[in-house]
Amino acid sequence: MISDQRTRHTLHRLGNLTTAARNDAWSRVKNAEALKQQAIHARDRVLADLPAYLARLETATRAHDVAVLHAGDAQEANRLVIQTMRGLGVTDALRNHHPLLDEIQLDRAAKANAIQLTPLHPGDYLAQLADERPGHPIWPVGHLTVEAISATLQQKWRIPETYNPDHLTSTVRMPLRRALLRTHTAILGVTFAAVEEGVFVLLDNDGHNASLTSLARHVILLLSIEQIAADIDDLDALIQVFALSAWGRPLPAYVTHLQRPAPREIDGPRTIHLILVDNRRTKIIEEGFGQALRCIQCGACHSVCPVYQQIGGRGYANSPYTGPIGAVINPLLLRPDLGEAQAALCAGSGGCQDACPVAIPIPDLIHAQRIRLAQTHPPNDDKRYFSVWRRLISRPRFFRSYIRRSYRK
Amino acid sequence: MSEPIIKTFINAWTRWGGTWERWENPIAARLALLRYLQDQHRMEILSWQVELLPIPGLAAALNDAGFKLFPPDRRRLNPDLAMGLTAADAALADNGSVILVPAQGRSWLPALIPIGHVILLPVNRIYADMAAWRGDWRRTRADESLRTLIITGPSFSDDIERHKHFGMFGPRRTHIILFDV
Repeated sequence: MISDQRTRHTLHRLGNLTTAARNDAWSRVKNAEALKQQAIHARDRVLADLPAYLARLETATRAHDVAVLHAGDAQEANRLVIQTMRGLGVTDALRNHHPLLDEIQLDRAAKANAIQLTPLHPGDYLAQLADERPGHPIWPVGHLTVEAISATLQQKWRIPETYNPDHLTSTVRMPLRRALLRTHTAILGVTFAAVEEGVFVLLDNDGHNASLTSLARHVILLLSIEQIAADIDDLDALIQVFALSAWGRPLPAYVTHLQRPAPREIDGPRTIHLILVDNRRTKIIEEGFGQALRCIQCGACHSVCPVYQQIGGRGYANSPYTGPIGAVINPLLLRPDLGEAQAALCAGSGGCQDACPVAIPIPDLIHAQRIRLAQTHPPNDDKRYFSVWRRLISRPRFFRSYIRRSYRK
Repeated sequence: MSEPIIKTFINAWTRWGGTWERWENPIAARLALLRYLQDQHRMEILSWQVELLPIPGLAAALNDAGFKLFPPDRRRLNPDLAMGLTAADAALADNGSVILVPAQGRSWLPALIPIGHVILLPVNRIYADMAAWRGDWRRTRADESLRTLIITGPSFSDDIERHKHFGMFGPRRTHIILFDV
């Protein structure tokens, strides 16, 4: 649990504001239930036959002169990004904010290969300055107070003391905008792709994705293989559901669609490389946890989770997937040994299932995880308990004396 | 274009922080644009190719009034240009969004780099919703690239305790000049 009361208050406030905005936005949608059903159908449709849809996506994107690469795991994804950058002759790039880039630990791989990678998203950039991991899929520094952010900037950049969020944001904006205007190569996590049309979509409110795809000569896209829609109609439904649940508005300020390189335009990328990242996702479907991959990473479940509001993103094993869905996905996606600790991060309120716009049965999946863990790896505490118990009852005299002593206490 | 759809668009557009004005014909819209730019004290404009803007005689009018238009080019981009001028391919009434499809002379950059963005929009380009626009696109422009930018209000960041800071990377002000055709 976070000991700092002010930080807990910040997390509560973030949750309350987000929930209120989301409920208000959904209440204005005509046929909200039909839209949710369309989104659920859109997710289940591709998850039911993922290899076939991926093959079609590959065909469509290759027809648009996009180079398609496949990464089985995080290491391979990083290798392909670095190889592509070397092939383009570049040693620095800007990246957007996307959990997939954190999942594969691209920043670390880039650093190890002497590549300078700068996050352009202000929240991500602040998280990096503060040596924090992003704690929320939409607001990476949603857990940090204005005082903490101010202290970081005072320490790192020696700015005058200020607690005005406008001043602090402007301070961060300046170097980021300078970097943006000089950009040559962008590495972008894709929010969704439409298979039929071979279209990729990036969503944000500050405009960093649109600016990057306009200004960068070369774009390297990374796509989690499950974040696809069969066609543009399903894609539109997913975009709307995402925006309503993440930001509480029917569309974000910027929806950027990217389809093919634009070698003759005065803006737009000359080359596009697409890296399709599996990293255990196929295995998750095989293991019967495919429903967890319905997740569109909107963060709706975070704002209603009593556990997340107490611990923020820090309890989720340094994973980019935090909150209730993180408790389900982390052991499946990252490390099976996380299962016990992650499954414990559920108080059973059930609020996450109600908030989830694609109806992921998160409590059921956590329960299924617990059953699986109990079958495969009995919890350590239980093992220890039964071992002591076995030793006690196999020595009757010792056992009787133990019981007598216990009563005396 | 039906009046209710135009009104729905205006309501949604203002809800996200955009400003607007509406004029009875393109000539009145041209005067409104000149007045708006003068009020903003912006004489240098990052703009689409002026012939591609949907108002006749705009190049001469801007020139006579002393405005200088700069074509967007990422190799020679002047970041100090504070006003961008574009039209829009379409607008969506239900969400209050405008859609920009890039082509020769119609870059996204005027909509992304300056702190102010003025959009010239004939009312007949307003669609009820995304489905209506997609339907029309499929009928008339199915072969074109789907590289599109949908803008819904000004750029903002709310990363610090969800306090909204406008004009993060894109414009702080988005102003639309609607006109009947």
